[in-house]
Amino acid sequence: MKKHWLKIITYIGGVFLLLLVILILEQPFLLLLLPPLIVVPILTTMLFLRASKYISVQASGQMPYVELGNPAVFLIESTNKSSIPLYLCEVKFHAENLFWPNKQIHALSIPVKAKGKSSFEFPVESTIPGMISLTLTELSLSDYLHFFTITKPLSIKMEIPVFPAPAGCPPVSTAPSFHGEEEYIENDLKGAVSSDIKEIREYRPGDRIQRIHWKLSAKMDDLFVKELSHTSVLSMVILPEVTFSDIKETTAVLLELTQRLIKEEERFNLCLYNHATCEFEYLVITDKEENLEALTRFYYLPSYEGKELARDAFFSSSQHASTVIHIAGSKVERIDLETIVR
Amino acid sequence: MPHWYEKLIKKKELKETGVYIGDIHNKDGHHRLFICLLRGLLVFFACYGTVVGVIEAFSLPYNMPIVTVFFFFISMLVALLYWRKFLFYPGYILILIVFTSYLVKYYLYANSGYQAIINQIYSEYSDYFKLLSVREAQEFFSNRYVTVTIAMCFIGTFLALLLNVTISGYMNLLETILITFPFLEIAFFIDLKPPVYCIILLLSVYFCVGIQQAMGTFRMQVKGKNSPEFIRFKRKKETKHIYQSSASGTLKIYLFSLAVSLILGLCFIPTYYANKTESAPNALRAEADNLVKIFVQNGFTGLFDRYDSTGGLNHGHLGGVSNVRPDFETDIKVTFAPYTYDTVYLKSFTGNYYQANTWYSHTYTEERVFLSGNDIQTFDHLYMPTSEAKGKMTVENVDLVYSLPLLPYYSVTEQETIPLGESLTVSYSPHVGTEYPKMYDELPEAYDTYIHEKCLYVPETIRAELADYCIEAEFTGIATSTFTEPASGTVTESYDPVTGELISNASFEEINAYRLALANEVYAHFIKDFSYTMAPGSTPYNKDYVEYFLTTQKRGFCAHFASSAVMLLRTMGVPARYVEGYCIPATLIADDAKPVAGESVADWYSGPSELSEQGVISLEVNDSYAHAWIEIYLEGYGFVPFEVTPADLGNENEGLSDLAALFSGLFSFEFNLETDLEDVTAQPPELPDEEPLFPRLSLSAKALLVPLCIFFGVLASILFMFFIIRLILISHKRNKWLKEGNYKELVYEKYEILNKKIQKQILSKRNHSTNENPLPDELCKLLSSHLSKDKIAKKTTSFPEVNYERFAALLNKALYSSKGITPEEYKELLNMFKDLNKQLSFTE
Repeated sequence: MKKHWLKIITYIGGVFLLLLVILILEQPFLLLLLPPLIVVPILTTMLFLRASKYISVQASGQMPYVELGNPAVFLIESTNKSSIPLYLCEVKFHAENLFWPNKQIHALSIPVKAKGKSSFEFPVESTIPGMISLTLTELSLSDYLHFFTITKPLSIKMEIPVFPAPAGCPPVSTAPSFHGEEEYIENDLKGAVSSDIKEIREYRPGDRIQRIHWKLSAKMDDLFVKELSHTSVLSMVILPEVTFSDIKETTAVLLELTQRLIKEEERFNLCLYNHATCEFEYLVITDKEENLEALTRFYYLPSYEGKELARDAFFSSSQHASTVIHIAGSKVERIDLETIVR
Repeated sequence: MPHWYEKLIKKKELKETGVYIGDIHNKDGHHRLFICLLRGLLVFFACYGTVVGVIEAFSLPYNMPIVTVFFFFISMLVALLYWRKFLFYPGYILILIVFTSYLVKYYLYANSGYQAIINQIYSEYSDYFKLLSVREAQEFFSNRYVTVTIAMCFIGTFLALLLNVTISGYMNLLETILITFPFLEIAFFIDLKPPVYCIILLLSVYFCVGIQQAMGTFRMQVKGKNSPEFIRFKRKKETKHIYQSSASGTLKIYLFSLAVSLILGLCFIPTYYANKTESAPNALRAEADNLVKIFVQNGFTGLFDRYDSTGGLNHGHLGGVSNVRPDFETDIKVTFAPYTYDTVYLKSFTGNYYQANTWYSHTYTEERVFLSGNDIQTFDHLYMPTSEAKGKMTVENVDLVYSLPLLPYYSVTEQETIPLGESLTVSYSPHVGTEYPKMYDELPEAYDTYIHEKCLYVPETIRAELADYCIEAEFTGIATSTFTEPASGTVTESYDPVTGELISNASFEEINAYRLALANEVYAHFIKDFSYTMAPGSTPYNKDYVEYFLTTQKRGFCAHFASSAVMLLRTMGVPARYVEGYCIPATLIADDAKPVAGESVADWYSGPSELSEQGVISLEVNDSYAHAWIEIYLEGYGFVPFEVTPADLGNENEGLSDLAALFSGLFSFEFNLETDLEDVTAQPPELPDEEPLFPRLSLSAKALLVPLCIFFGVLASILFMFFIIRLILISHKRNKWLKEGNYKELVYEKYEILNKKIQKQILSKRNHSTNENPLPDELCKLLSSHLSKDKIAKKTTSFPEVNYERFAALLNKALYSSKGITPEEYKELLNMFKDLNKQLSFTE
């Protein structure tokens, strides 16, 4: 419990000043002021200590998401189950866009009603799309005379994604690639296992059912697919860069593109590259909700500057796709891969 | 924080962190109006408790319903100014204008009421401290019921305005107490009690304000575009958002405070109205009593005298006392048998040598002490006149500050002091009658030199002025060979005042008669041209006490007259010296003497007596009878006492003490009113009860002229001072920034000035506003596009071209980078600002 010595000393000084006045004026009734002045700090401290046990704070977002340009509105709600109100409560919180971390701390001073809830709305504006994260870190409660302060650590987090405003997408063909061959060319004799199995890997969403290695999957109790030497991966992958300086344009284009693909009923995967863990995550998007969810997942990726890390990592790894649509800011590039294995 | 600055901060935060917290909103609602009403109630309680408390304590008549309603109305009105920004500034100005105009219109009533209150306070204080003088200020109207009511309304308005600042504006307990409680202290100090409900109201306000102030979250800002619910400010790396007041919180705290005050008030009642038991005051109270007595009698200046002269005079120290303040406590007790109607003098201190506003008991010339006080006293005792009258006197030291013996004329004692509580009995041989027979032919050389040289000594610094003064005053004794040419028909002094040689053959009787005649002339001169007062003001530091009194002051008390008379007489060749002690006038004997039973007159006095009946009396003599007079040397006889202080003609009442006089003077100037009021300069009219309080609103320009001039003069001075101080503060702030190398703030300032200029020009030309708060890059684009337009470009070709890219880069670096700019870059930026400002000024 923190003590505010200056206020305590000032209060004691005030009491002595009253004594001085009593001595000069020689009015006995003024002496009756002394007992309350001595009792009040004790009383307020006791009430404060009692009330502080019953006060809690919650945070919530007022909307599931917002469009860029509109503020994300959060709600901080304090609840007091005791019948003692407190008027000097401070909530420390931290608000940031996950793409743009900052160390700015905010302290919100609020009153707490007795036997009830107090709610405070505050809007958070952001210049770029991303995940607006609000984290409550500390709750400080002070008594009525501000002599003592109790601090409770908090760990409450709320997030509201900020989606970009609709923007035009650069013209790019999203038709699946045909290289003069049938889409599916493989040895699909029933029961036959191709001798050209290149590798067996875990099932990824979008893989064909026919490629599932049922035997192994049953044994391992997980889905595995055969990667044959002549299997062609005929899927479209969208690969966005998480470059900080272009993030606004990247997200706008990404959203626009994915919405267009959904509208055209094209199958595609969204490949999210986490440069910190060097991992790829594939998301299948079939409708608007999945699209927004995928974009939200995109917001959790750590950003970087400069190079096209996702592209480089994709092509230097064993990732395969027939078509990769690479997004870096407003630049959209379609890469059709000649990696069909015969 | 101005709106444009908030926007700049917002842009800055968005640029630095990518996020910005907007205006925080309390879902339960702000209820600003309700909070204002509650605060209005607080202001009303404080105002009412203070003003009505004081008036009731001093039992002054007033109209309670009118005062209550008026106070409530004005308190609510001023509190509601905080409701909205558009009410705040115009509201205050309007209230001040209305207040001033009504004060001018009803100033006679208000002034009368105010003076009535002051007079009543003075009267009560004088009664309490048993002071003799009561200062009365003029009340133009005698109907206090009306005048006090009106005065209360004006005082209440003023107080409400102040309380509104301390409560609604700052919620500061100390300030609230400072502007309310001292008024009640005026009553409490002399054991007068305001009504208990006034105390309860005030206490409730103090508790409420104190608790709210301690919480630190009950301020209500009026500045800012929308008077936001939360005040935002940045402390290091933390941004604080503090809520401005909670309606339910304010109400609960107030109800709690009221409850506590009511309980306390109920507990007060038994002790509140009980009579105070008579007991000696504590040391603090005694000291406070002394200071208050001084203040009541003599105002503020009475508190700043250089030395305290209560309890008698001060051993020859002159000059520093602006007022003599007797405490009227008994200093000595004298027992003797009166024999004359003349004043009986008890001598204590003899001043022989005058230098630097002080009388010394020795003689001191050119760093060589000639005779000590004891030696002179020995000579005095040896060469003292005697007579057939013989008396005995007992002097008891009751409360003398110093304890020198007090000896009647003519007596001797070996005792050097009369310790406190002890007494001294001396035998004395008083002079009765008007004859001064020769006692001695020759004197010892030392004593002779002392009398005829040292007792003629006048400091060189004032010698010439005194001689001129004597000539101007046409004293017959001015004709001395050393100083001036003898006037025709004058009698020349027998002794040369410098050499002491006898220069004529005048007899002792002629010389003595001449000296007494001169002394009488001086006395007559004082009566004619000077006045007696116990509050003449102190002598300026660079002036001589005697010279200043004679030439400028023209008013004083006994020490002034005695010192000046000695110097004048010495200038005219009459040996004289300054004496302090106590005097016992016949009136004191007549009023206060108590006969001493069992004492025979014969044991106490024998010899000629001017009184038909005699007895032995005992008398208490207080410090108001401490006195200074002179002694003149009569050749062959000795030093005789001579009174040179004119009688006090009772003109002590010269108006109010300094502070009250100041206010009285402000409202008491005479001019002709052309309103419904009667001519008040002739006779103070009696207001009939049925006359309406507020006559129709007809103001005379003549009546308003002087007060309006004063008002606007004061306002103009305040505004002028405000601008000067503001300029000084801004300049100091800029210098500080420059010294610290904080170029960011300096650049912000110039940036904003430039922005305002360009916005104004664009607005005037295009008739629509642009982006009011552009970032540096945007501003540069704006400037370059505005200044590059053909007509403008032609006008400004003589100015050096500004590199806008460089300008924008420097601005960005100064405003946003963590390292800031170097002094050279700052200078470069300054020059660019100068050039751009010049170009913009040119194109206006």
